[in-house]
Amino acid sequence: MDRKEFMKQLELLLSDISEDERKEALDYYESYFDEAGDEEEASVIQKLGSPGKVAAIIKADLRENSASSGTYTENGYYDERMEEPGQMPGERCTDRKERGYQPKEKRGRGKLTLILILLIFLSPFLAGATGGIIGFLVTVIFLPFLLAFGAGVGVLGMLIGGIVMIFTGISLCFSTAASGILTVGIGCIFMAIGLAGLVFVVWIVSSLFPRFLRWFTDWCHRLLSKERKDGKTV
Amino acid sequence: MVFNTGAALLDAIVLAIVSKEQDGTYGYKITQDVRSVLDISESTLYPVLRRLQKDECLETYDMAYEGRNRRYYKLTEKGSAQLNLYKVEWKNYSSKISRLFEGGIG
Repeated sequence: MDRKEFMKQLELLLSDISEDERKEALDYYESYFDEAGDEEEASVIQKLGSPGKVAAIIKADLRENSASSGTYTENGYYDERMEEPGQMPGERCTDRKERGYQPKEKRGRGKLTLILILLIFLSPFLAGATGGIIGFLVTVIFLPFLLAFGAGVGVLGMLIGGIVMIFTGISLCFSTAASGILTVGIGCIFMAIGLAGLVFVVWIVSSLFPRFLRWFTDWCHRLLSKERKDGKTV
Repeated sequence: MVFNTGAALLDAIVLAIVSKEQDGTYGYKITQDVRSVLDISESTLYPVLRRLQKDECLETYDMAYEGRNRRYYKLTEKGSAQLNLYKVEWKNYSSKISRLFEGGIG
């Protein structure tokens, strides 16, 4: 590779940076060759390395430069690189290829912080939403139990009412026979309804409950397996 | 060399070399001067010079030399302030290390 070829490749490799920066760099290396002299041409190319390496170093520095630069303070020129612990020997490699990776890392951390901040800001809403969902789920789960409990209390009331009415009816028979017989009759009807209700409650508890529980556990299973499937595809 | 040269130290060395020349010096010569002290790749110097120029630590001017253009780098006021800062930092840093190597801590 001669100087012409080197510069042509370098220009091509720098085509994605600003024209200003490209011209500056190309001018620098053109005059670099001029200063070295024709007889040093091969040695300069060898010492500079490949055009790819030269371009990579230039680009890495441009990327880093846009992320951080020094500022002028009353204590003199301040550069945050000065603040880095152990920035003298060893902090960075002589090969500056590595430098380009640092801003990327910074950006990643920034994104994470942003997400965390967002979560913190949203946490009241999230808490509200979670509370609502949990409340709904609890209601759905306990709905059959509540139904069974209500029906059970109703049935118990009917039965007790029926028994009380039958007894008061019998005692009423001694004073006013007609209303006493009527009360006993109503008491019997109440007893019948209560017994029918009891059968219904027993049916709920014995057959509807297990069915509901089975349905619920199936639903949970489906939810979990779906999530697992999603996890695999991601 | 066993020890790596950090970006700040390289900046300091370049500023020091440029400051030696009252009328400024040019890229090729700076590179050769740095390489007489440090064993670094020649392609490392351009971005350093460009950055120092952008940070206004170095200024450039063009002068004709043997029928072509030669770009000279010269230290600015800001650059010389920065160099002084680097010198102080380096003195602190290197004297601590030297003290540690040659004797006890403190």
